[in-house]
Amino acid sequence: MVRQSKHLAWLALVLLIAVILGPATVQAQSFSVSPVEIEIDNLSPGGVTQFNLTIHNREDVNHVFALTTYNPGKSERREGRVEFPDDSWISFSPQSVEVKANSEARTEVTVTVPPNQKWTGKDWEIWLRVAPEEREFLVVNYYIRLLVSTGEEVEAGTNVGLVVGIPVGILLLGCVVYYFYFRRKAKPEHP
Amino acid sequence: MTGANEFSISLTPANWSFGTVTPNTVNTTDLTQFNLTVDSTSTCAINTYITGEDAVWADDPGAYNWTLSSNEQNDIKVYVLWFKPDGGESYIPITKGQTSFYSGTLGPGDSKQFGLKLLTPQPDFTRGGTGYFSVGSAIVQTHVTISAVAA
Repeated sequence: MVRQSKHLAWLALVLLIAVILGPATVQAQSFSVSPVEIEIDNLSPGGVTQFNLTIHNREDVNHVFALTTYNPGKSERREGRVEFPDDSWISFSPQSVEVKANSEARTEVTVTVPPNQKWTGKDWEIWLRVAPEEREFLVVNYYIRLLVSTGEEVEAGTNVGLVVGIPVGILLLGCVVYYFYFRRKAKPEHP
Repeated sequence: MTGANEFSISLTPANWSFGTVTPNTVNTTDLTQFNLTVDSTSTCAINTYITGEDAVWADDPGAYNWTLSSNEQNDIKVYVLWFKPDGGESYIPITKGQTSFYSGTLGPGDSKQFGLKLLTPQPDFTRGGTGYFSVGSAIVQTHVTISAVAA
């Protein structure tokens, strides 16, 4: 508020000007990404798949790139593909990649589909966006098409109840057997 | 799992200044001012999209900004940006939503020149018949993003 008042005070004397400006450089960041399209077939709900994206920095300085997802509109998707239901099923490791000058770096993408019958037999599409974190006036972003088709069967996930319950049950059974067997053995016999 | 191909595009120049601008005025660049080229090392055709964003005061982005118009109308602190491909029929508005940059696909080695048009916001206040921006003599910056995806 104080700052704005200060500006208004001295600006009243000056014809207002504003500039969209930056120091001129030759070209927006030069980089490439591969592959540009990933097709995953027959991924069962409950299953997980992973792949790598390679970012190639073609400049003489280091750059940092951010990876996010983007849901394209119907007209932008491949024919027969529908919107990916939940972008939280996709993760990047790392999500922010520093690529040294004139070199390349990889990030691992993990796709996880929850184990639910309603996700069987689907053909989804989502785009993975690679964007430089340092930006000039003109910015280049790349999208990688990720096409995911799910299988007809739900993959049996790990049942935590069973994993914990079985050893606990065996342990309890052992205690009961031990207790009764040895107590009975240790008890003095009545005359 | 399958995956293939590689592409890259070049945009020049990376930076541009409209110079000193005043409220509620139209400023245009030459239609060949900017150039997009699909690098010849690319191995597939691409679709391209263009998006814009709000402009901010370079010294203190949180203190003063212009919102990018979504309806080609300017207002107080609302500016409009268009692009026009060289040889194109009319200017196409740039919004925060994704707009197709080129209606067809672009292949390796293809190049497209384009220009920009800026309509500055209406004055924040008027004094003596002259309109002013409340930020005064300042640098206001924005970004235009061109995105590419395999066709």
